[in-house]
Amino acid sequence: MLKKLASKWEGYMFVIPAVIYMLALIGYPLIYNIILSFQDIDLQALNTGDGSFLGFSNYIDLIHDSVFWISVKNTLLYTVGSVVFQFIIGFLLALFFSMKFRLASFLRGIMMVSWLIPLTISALLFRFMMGSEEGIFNQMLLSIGIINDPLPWLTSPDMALWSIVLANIWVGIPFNMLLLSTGLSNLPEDIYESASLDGASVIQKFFHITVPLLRPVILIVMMLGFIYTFKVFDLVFVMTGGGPVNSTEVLSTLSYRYSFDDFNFSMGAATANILFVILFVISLIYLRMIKKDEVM
Amino acid sequence: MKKQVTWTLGFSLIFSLTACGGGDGEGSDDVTQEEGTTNGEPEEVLIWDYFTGVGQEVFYEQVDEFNNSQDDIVVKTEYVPFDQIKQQLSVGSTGDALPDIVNIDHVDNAALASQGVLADITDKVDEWGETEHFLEGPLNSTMYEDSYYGLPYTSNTLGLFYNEDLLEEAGFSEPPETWDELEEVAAAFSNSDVNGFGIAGERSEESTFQFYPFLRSAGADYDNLDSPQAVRALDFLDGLLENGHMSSDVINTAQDGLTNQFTTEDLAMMVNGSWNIERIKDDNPDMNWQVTEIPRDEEHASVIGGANLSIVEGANEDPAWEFMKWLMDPEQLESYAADSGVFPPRQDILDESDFWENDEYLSSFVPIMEYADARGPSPHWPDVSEAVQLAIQESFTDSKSPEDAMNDAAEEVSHVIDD
Amino acid sequence: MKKRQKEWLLNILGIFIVFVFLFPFFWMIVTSFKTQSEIFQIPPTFLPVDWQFESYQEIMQNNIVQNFFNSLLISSLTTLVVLLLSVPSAYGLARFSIRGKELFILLFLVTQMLPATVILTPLFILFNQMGILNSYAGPILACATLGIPFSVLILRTFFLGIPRELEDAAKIDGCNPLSAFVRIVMPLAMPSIIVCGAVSFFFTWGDLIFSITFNRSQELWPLTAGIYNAIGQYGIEWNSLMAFATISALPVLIIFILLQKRLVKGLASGAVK
Repeated sequence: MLKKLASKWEGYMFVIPAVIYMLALIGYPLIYNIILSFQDIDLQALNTGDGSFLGFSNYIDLIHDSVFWISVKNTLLYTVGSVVFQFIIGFLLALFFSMKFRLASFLRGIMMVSWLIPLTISALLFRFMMGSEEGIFNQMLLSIGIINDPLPWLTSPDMALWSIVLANIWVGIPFNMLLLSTGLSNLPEDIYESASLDGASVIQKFFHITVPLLRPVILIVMMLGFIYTFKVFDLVFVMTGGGPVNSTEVLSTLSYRYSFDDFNFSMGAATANILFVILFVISLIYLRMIKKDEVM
Repeated sequence: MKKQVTWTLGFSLIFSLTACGGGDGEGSDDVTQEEGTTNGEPEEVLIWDYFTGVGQEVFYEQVDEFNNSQDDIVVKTEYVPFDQIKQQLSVGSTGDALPDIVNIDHVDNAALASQGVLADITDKVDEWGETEHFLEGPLNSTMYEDSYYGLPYTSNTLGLFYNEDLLEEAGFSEPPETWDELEEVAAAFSNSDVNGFGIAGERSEESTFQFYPFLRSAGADYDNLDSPQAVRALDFLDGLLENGHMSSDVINTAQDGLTNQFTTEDLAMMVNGSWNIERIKDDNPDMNWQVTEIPRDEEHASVIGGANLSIVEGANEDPAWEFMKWLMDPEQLESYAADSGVFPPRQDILDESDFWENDEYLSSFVPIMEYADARGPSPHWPDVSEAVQLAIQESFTDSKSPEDAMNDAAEEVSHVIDD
Repeated sequence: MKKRQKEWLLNILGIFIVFVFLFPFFWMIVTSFKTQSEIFQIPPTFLPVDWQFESYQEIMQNNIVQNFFNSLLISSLTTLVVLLLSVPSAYGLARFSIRGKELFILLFLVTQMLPATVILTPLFILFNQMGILNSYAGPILACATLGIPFSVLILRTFFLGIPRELEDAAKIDGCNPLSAFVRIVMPLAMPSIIVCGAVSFFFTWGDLIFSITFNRSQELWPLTAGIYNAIGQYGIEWNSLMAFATISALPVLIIFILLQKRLVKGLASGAVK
């Protein structure tokens, strides 16, 4: 009995330091963010230490700010666009590399590089390739004759957001492919064999066996993709900085701009809180989904 | 000889100041380091600069020269992008990470002074007694409420750079004189890989700077942006872009970027400043090019640009001032200005030297300097400029018509000035 | 015969796909060796006609060595913090029956999903009050929050798979739980720990926002911040920027090549569970 109690206590000794660390550096800031968003903290208030209490006025200002709504719309378009395409392409590639050939796993592994490289660098690469004059994208499209005039990838407000989505898809494909590959490799082969005996075509097998069996993995991949894409910052920050004319502003860059360009820390905090609430709700859905196969 | 005496005097003054200042200024935890803070250690001066290309190379050479010339002050440099200096100054003030000297666009000097970021150096400037040699416009830009918050370091103006060979190939032996001619020449390049004309439309002070000559030439100014003349100026540039005479990339292009395109002969004409002359000569010595006045609408117009150096509030003022005085000395200033292709803001240098009048390219800027207009000085200038920048971006990206964009900008400016 | 043909076809197709996919990297490296005028040449050259190394010389003058050292220092120290905290925590969550265990796991799962921008403003103010703006401490403390949840979750899964009998045997030999953990479990878990360390290293290596927000002093900046700053300095001197990018990406590539198989496996198991 005593021994059991001791071991219980030992368990906490192992677990608690990391928990305290995360509570101090994530939990406390989250709460502080809420307090900040009800105050009026600018650069001067920061140095003197007193900010007046404003109530909800920051949030009210925010919902009257047209750029805020542009950011919300952009964040959603950006996320949905990225998730859908990186999932489809990632899935196709996962299927391709699940065929048994010599270089399959090596080649699949190498593609992970685009996910691990700093986003600042990926953003810079795309900014370079998407230049209207010297950019290789336009050069290639012009030479094949798909377009007659250079595309204004990052300079047109109508196109810039989708150009960043393209970069994000590139970054996200390997991650989708990897998880889906793992899922595919865990599928029982005998079902496919018996389906083949029944005369099922490849496409039938895909839609009647692969997709239903992979359903849990597919949902998780899409959810994680959503969560990781929704918090996008670096790509937008480096590729366009939110421009031209706010056309690529997303919630995280808007929050950053309020805090560190305008030094209106309270507005920055309010924007961040809205971003947090949306993500939190989605995270809860995700958690419910994975709880089934989690060994708790 | 006389100079040397002032030098010695200056230094002994600094030493006496720092010797007593060091003791009570430092925190109590520095007791053990007390020995280190006395005369033996050189003082460090950090400067933020936004110079690029040749301007930066020559500036860093001068810093090295200063560091090697004496043992009491060590100057260090950090490059901060032009469009980020103001923001970085604010962030730096929070974390105690400000430089001692900052290189700022002269139009921002008054605003930064009004925000309390810069040190009032009136006493030092008066004691120095050389202000009478400075040009009036640049010197005025350093003043806020009758005090000095910096010194002008370089002056420049904008002109039209054109590639003689490219123009010739397109059938023009002379550069355009008027807006109509400009459009005609630029249009000749519409179907080639070369862009006919370019300005810097990046959302920073650079685009306001580049737009100003067109605004003035049409007969408008920043306090009547909703006038038909002002709208006409923006409408003209917007038209060049719409008709493909100017690349849509200009909204992301800074003056350095334009220079690169011009140097690689992908751009036939651009509006740019004298500080880029050296870079073009270095990177493409074989190119045939010239500089002339910016084509006019009503009358020729251009704009005065320039960099000031200011000491930051709370900085290590005395050694910083020593370094600034050294830079502003005619000998140093003349070689910096000449080597980096800008104009010195001192009349005495311009009077004594015939370098500017004889230089193949700089000489074209001399007559332009005569009529170029200054922006401000006004502590509200950064806000005015932001409104203009936004209007340019909105109209170039078709988010608004030039007229709507200018009307909105005018409204914004009137708010700013009324406040 | 037909099967072999198909095998060939798949391999070639696979290589083609990977080349197209990784073309941006190829283009980055190639551009860094081109001259400025060759970059703007139409049509573009596939490989540099005129190889030049001046871009690398040019950026060497630009503090890049200091940036590189800072990236290395910040990333290594962050990795150390992450491992010191997450290895024991994962073990505790896997082995002991702890009240509120679900809550702790939930905490790590949720924090893993938080964007840096949400905690950026409060951390900036907090670090200002603590007086650690403009020091290595800011980015290290903040970046560790990216690696800890990830590592705890991966390692916990791994520890669950180690048979308990091993530790029980050690305990019979007189080891207490801590020494059983250090002597028996840690060596077994080393491959997974290395994966977590590498991933934390990558996360930190890629950080831009924490460093440029908490540190104004350029002497403390990592490569990502240096390159962001250089975008203005070099204008569109893309060869210099691409040289900077190549150097920044190199360590990631090297570590990845060394650990490829393990990393891929570790990432897959960590993200799904």
